[in-house]
Amino acid sequence: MIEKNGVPSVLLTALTAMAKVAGANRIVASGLIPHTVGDPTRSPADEFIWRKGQVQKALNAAATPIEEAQVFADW
Amino acid sequence: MVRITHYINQFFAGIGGEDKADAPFEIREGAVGPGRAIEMELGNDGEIVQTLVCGDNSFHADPDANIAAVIAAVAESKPDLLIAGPAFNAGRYGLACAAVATAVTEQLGIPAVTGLFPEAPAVDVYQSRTVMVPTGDSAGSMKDAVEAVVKVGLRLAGGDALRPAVEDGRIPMGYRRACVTDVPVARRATEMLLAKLGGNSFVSEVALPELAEPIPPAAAVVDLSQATIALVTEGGLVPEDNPDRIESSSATKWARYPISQLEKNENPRFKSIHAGYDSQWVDADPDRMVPLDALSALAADGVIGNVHEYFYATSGTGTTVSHSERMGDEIAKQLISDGVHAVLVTST
Amino acid sequence: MRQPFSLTMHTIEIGDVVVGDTTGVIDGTLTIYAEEVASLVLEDDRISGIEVDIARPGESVRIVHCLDAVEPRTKLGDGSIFPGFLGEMETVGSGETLRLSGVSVLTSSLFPQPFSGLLQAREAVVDMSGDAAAYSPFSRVINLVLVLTPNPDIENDDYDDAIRRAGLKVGDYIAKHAVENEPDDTTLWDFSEKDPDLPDVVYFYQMQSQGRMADTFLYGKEIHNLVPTIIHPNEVVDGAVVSGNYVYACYKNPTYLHQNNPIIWELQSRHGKDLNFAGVIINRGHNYTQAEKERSSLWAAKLAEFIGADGAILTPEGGGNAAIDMMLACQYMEQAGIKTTVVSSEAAGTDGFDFPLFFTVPEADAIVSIGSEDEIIPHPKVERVIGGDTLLVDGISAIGPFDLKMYFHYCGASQVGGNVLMGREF
Repeated sequence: MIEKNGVPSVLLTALTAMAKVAGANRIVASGLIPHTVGDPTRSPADEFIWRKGQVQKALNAAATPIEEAQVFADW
Repeated sequence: MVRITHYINQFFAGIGGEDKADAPFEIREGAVGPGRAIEMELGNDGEIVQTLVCGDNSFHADPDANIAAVIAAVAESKPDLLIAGPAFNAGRYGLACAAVATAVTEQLGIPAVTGLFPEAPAVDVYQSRTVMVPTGDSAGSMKDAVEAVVKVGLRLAGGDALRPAVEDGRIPMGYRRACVTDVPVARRATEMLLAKLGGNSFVSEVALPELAEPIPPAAAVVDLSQATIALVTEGGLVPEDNPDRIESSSATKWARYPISQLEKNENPRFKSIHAGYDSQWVDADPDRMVPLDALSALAADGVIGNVHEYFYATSGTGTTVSHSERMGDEIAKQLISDGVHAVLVTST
Repeated sequence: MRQPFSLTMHTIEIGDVVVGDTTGVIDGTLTIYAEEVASLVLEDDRISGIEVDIARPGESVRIVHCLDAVEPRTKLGDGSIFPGFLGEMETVGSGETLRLSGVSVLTSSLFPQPFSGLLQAREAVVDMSGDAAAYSPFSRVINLVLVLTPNPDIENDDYDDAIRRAGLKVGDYIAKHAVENEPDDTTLWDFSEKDPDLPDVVYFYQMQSQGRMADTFLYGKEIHNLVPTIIHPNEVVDGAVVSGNYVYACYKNPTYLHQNNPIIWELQSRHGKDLNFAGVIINRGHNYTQAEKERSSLWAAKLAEFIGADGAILTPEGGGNAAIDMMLACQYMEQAGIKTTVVSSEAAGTDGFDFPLFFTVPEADAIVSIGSEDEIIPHPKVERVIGGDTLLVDGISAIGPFDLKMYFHYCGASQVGGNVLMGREF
């Protein structure tokens, strides 16, 4: 609905297929369901660097002109 | 003996055709026109005590006043049932019948039924609010239409609850309910599979959705370094006393909280009230759901202009599509009025 | 040497359960020596108290805080009925098993420590009479309810294990007291002969296993890391699968419904007549990422192909998250040429007007619906409540009257077909 209102909106989610069905346009595959932008298996410092990378990817998606729904892959 | 009020237009009342469509609202005693066919079908089960007549143009010239007149007349005669039409595929007449039936049910609690061709314009508008039986597209199908209207009408007048649309012979109102059934799930599943394997016909108990209209993508952010970016989550991250009482499942509410509070994360501490995922990792570090630390760092690096001063949260599990759409729309409008350029949403 | 996967199932039908001096069955009445049951359960010092109660269909009784339910069963001759929990480790599904039908051992308890997040035991209600009785399959059996009190000093995970073992142990104990009785029915479970003219049907049995309070156990071990695997139907009904799932009351499959999985029992009854029962693929749902869901679903479809299945019935355990795993498995099976039907719950909102499915694939054109988790069910005031005074929902007084979402009804929306509801369009 945020995109519908004209504001670019990036969905970070582990469940990209669900996001597509729900009608999201800019989708970034990220993390696991219980911690979309977290990775408790890393050290806190590593986890922060990883998260910053995921957020950077999402920002890039917001700045990418698209014609139709797109999944920006994580793997 | 069920007492019935019947609503018809000028044509079926014998006043005249299109040239008489401005005939004003009037009340007649007893059955008129198709009302006689209805009484035949009713036999000894009911009678039409009153017929309300209104011209098609006249009705739509001032629908509020005409509905008020219908309500006044029906409130006075206190029938057990209102029948409107049947109106077949008629545009204005169909809309009048559906509007009258809806008003009588909703305002007076008196059951009402109308008959319409399934593709008539009134069906889309009033389907969810009033009882409709399907008819043919013209008065040529009057006999069958009257039979169907009377059958459903008598059941409703007798105080029976609605049954599934297909059993009642109604146009579906669009809602679903669980019903007790004699045929176990396992047998239904097996029979359906065997039919499918044998190439025989079967009816799925839920129809697949028609594909949603894609939403045209919003224009990309032109200059991230000047942009204000907001964080939104459906991960249920709220102050630990959940001051806005956001439901942990089937949420109907959203709220926004200052990022300065989340940054400190003490008094209040933030935690997830979402009932659909294991929140232990997010409770230990909320950045794992709302990546404020990372986004702030990117703002400090000059990658983005700044981080919007609030983050937005709701809980997305078992949340209905209609509530999700409403909340999304409300959040979007708020973000626009706050001058946000792009949004990062995290979803579990 | 015993015949592999040929199971003789003896059934004693129970018409009533009463408390008395000796545990045993006479003329269809099961007598329970409550003190003996209590001391058996209290052998485990993680449990500090027990009350034994009986709830019969038609009584003005409500059971709250329901956890696991078990059908009383034991093995005749060698073997244990729940390997991994009771007795030696071995496979089940052959030999002879005695079951007492029409009765469940139902555990009810609160946990010693507070919960947060997903992994908690949520409210689960059974009404034994009235309109709300349509919302649990356990309204139609006699429940021997074990109301347990935890040792306050132990952790929740430890108590969870104690509860599970208590239910299984009492089930086995009761059935052992009926081994001398003449069974009312004896059925041979054997699928070794196949009719080449009939279609081969496989059952895709998806289970919830996300962590404690949301677990399913296979031979004593939780299945978090299970890739989809093939299991013989006899193993499932003979105690290989045990529940530790207390999160979504309406969806969970307690041990009773694994033992009596209606899909498996239906396919058993039709084997050799309408179809060949080709096997069961079990799988954990609620996989965490899209990639993991696809991996698991592709794997399941691959196994169905290995088996040579012509058709498959798929059931999930849970809500929207679980639906994705199942629907993807449906999609990949159909793409492999295997015809499917799926069983789904609905989430159409309290008024029923929302789109009812969580997630769909275009291949899922044959869906059986078991009703919506969102419906609000009115509950009358009852004469007696077993298990507690207050619901774990908004502090509602358990005696009633109150309104309660389907979500909190014990197995009300059971996707394996435990209940009697069907979602219909109005």
